[in-house]
Amino acid sequence: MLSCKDVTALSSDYLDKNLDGTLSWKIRLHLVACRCCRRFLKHLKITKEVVPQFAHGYEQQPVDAEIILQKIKSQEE
Amino acid sequence: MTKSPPPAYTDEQDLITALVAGDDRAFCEIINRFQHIMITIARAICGDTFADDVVQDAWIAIHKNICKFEQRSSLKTWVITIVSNEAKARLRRESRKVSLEELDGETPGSYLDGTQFAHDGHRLTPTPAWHIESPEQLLEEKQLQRCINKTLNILPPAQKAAFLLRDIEQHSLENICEILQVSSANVRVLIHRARLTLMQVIDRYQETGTC
Repeated sequence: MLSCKDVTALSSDYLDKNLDGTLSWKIRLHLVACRCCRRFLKHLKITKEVVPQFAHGYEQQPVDAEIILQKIKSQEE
Repeated sequence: MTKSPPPAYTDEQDLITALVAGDDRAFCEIINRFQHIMITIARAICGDTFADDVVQDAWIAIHKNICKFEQRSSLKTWVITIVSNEAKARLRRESRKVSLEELDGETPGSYLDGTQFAHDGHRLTPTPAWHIESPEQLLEEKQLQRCINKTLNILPPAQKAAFLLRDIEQHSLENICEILQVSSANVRVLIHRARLTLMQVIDRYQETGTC
């Protein structure tokens, strides 16, 4: 039987369906018995869903494209 | 500092046509669109020291070769491939072997930290409860959005690149392996670590209402 530590380490692969059938089945078996890991998986799934929608603003530092273009042109000369 | 202008080209084909015609405004637009992801990828591959130079060299290559862009991939994928190749070439020139795992170590106190578990691998403390579990409700939390974005910007370079490429840009694992030059297993570990760090931000926000 897998431990909570194993399930924690494999949880993204489980959600992304990167695991073979046997390992996925072992995780499901653990989840039936472990409330903490069920909650953990649920929260990780929510995180995976929510963060990309939040992350549109991750490029917070403005870019001065004109200066970059000037540098490109000066190095090409 | 200049604020990035809103995009002038909504259609990629129009943008590419303008780029091929040598339109500076179109080139500034792709700089605005791709500069951040390029810096992220360069940092992940060859570290902070060389990242700015690598991106500059990549822009020169893009400017020089845009007329040869055959559109067998999206413009963004083409640009990402160029910066990835520039970064790998730079790493080879510097004769440095920097593994992504060395760059991105495990964070003490994270969910993967061994101290969180007993000898038999069971949790020592229960997973904290969240009072908001609906994604729709979470997305209404502006302060949480600031916390997430702040954390994304300070993730270790390789984790940030792998996470952005997979969960935000939706690249395939194979493609990310090629871009970052790491194995599939390592890409998956990087993505997992990034997700767990971001999940802990939500944990903290749920408990305290702050970052």
